[in-house]
Amino acid sequence: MAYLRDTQKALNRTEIEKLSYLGSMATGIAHNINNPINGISLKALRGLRRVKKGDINNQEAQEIFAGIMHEVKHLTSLIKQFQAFARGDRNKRENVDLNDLATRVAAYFDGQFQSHDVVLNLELSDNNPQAYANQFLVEEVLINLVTNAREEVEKKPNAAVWVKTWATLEHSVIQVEDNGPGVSEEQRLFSPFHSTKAHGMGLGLHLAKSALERINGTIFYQNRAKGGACFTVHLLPARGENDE
Amino acid sequence: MNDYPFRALIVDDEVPVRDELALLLQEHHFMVETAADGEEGLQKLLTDEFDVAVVDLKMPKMGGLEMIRKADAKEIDTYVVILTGHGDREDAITALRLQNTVKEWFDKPILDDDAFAQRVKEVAEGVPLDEVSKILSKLPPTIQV
Repeated sequence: MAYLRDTQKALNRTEIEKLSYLGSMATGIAHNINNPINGISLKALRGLRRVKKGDINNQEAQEIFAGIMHEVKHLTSLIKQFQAFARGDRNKRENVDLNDLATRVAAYFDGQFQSHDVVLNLELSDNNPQAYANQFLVEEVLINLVTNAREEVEKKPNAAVWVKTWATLEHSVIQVEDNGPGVSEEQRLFSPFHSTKAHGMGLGLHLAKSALERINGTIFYQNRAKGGACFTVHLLPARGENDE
Repeated sequence: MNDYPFRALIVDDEVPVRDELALLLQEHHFMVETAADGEEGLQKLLTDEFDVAVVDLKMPKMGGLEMIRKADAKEIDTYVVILTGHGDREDAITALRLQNTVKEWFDKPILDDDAFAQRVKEVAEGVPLDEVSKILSKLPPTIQV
């Protein structure tokens, strides 16, 4: 364990965290990149077929190119989001719209969830809860929780994950629930190098807790009432312009 | 050569893929119907007749494999060409091994349009010819056509 502690100290902790989340995000986004590529490929093939036969007219050529550009713009937007996440300033503090953030993270992973037959449900407060935090750190935490939840429920019948947001006077809250088996060793859940997964390093929840500490947030676990896991993240409420 | 157009059902949740494959098969003189997920695809298979179904495996509501199994259970014997695209090749191989109606599979990202259309046509041609020859072989000689 001394060796592990020394190694951990030697490595740049922020970089480890970022690489860990970039890995999860890249895997999730890969599913969303495949779909536009299929569309681009088939439209280009139609253009080639028409050109080879010499029977393409202006209207169809425009429709093909516009369709390809539509898919390319979608891909560009995904890549820009990925770059923003990779390069984003994690020291900045600002009011973060939790509904926007949850919707964005859900969009990264919707293809991946679908391909694993897991339903991702968003239950977002109508009051647009805002938190005083760092959007990239909160995004990291949510990516971690959503990925964990999917891994817990996939291959189970009616597998589902819920992301909820709301705000009270004291906290702005994000909650991630799943209908998997839940957690039996709650007391060690956020400790480093503790994992219940065959291939897990046991760093995910520990990193999430550390990230939240940097923005005065907290995370805690409870069993879901209907069976499954429920992670709740408390963040500072939004600040007004005149707040210190 | 048949003198009527083959009927194809394309089941895929990606709109551009559905539309482009429909255009491609129409160019090869198919009459094409489409469905956006396994539920809609199954409904169309149960209520209409097709020579071939082109079916994506990963779809919302009901995946392709489940749709094919449910169609089989209802004795729908439309031949199927499977589409893969998200690392689901193992599922395609499972389908080819387990479901008699599944005759071919194509990987969407590297799909060759001419080869695809040609193969779908061959699979469609196989359905009526097989069925007809089976039925004819069972008929008494006096009423054979």
